[in-house]
Amino acid sequence: MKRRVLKGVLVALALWPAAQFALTQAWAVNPWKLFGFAMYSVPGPRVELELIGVLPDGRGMRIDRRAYSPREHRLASRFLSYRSELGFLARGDELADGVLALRPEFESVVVHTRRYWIDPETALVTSRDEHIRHGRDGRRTPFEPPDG
Amino acid sequence: METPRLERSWLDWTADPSGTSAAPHLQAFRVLILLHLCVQAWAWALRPLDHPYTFPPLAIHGCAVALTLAAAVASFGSERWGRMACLASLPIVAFELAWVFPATANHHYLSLLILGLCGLFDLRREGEDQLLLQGLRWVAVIVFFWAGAQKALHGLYFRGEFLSWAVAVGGERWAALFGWLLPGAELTRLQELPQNVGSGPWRAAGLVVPLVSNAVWVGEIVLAVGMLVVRIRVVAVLLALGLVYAIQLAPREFMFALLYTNLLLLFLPGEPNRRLLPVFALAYALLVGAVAGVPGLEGLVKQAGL
Repeated sequence: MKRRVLKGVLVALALWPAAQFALTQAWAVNPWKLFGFAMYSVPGPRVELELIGVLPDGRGMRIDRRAYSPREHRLASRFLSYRSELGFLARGDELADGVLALRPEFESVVVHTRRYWIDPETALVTSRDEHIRHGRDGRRTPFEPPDG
Repeated sequence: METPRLERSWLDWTADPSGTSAAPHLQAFRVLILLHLCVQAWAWALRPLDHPYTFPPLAIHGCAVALTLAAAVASFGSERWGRMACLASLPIVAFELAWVFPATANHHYLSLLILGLCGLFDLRREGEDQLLLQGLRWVAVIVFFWAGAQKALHGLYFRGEFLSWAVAVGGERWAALFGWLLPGAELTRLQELPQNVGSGPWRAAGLVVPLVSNAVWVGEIVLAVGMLVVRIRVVAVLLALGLVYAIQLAPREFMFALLYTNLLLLFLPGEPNRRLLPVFALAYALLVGAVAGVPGLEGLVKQAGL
């Protein structure tokens, strides 16, 4: 029985890094994490965050990081950390809800993240952006920035 | 009369041909694992992690004390108590790892897995010592194989991209240790590159960096396979130890290096885990000292701690 358990554990250990690699490719999960043994395979993740409040007339206002409240700072730091490790699997709902709760002037908030990495083909720095608009009703919709 | 056919499974590829008892070896290994986990917990207690992974002080101090007791029980108690210490430590370590998720380091998962295996097998029962030994050796093989395979899969080793990046902007330690691999002008070019979209190429000119870079991932895969071949096992393990410490000199991830050394030593004859226990204890004590800010030891750990 214990022999079977051991074999099962070893097979899982041997197969999991392949699944972890798939997660890194599909959702930009940090290769260094999640037990895939890909430490030092790529530079550590670099992620930038931008919050844009959307007024009732549709105009967007970038929320200056220096103007974040302590709670917004905590939520943003938590989200950035999760986004760095879990890539696009990490959702910004908690951050968006916190911002909307503190800023009644906005009808929704756009969470914009940019994840950088080195492209193995060109060896140039490249990035992937995500803009998600979070409404007060909890709906999440992709947001197309005006300048494309 | 028909001779019964001996079943040889892949699990036995890491078996010890001598078949001598591995129990003393594994008891020392178990003490080292608990010592490792206890040091990790004290490191988190002494140098709290940043938000959002900061442990409640009472919780992490409680974990550290409990794991210290477990390590003491495994060191001085009977075989039965040593195994119990592993089993009792499992929920504590699982709590710690869950708390720091998703930033959990791979060596934390690895130590939890190893702890579970040490708790599963009773070294007093016939054959279970060999089974545990084979399992732990397989863990070492799988980790080393994937460390190499992942470097190839991510594609930043074939032309030395990762190494170029690390030496140029990965921090002073990388530049100090591996800067000599790059021609001076090339190092300056890479260091002056901006890190915005389109910057690069992050490839050093010349052959040295690609050669060293490819030697790393190929070496990891070849040595992992070599550990399965009895005839070359000792050489493969010694070379693997050399490679691990060569890689770790710059980033100073000594917690991983010590854990992995403990695993690799299981392949070697002469019960090195047991013989080197005082050396490991000293190394762990130095790491705790470094985290606690003892003057002169800061250089042993990363700025963030262990």
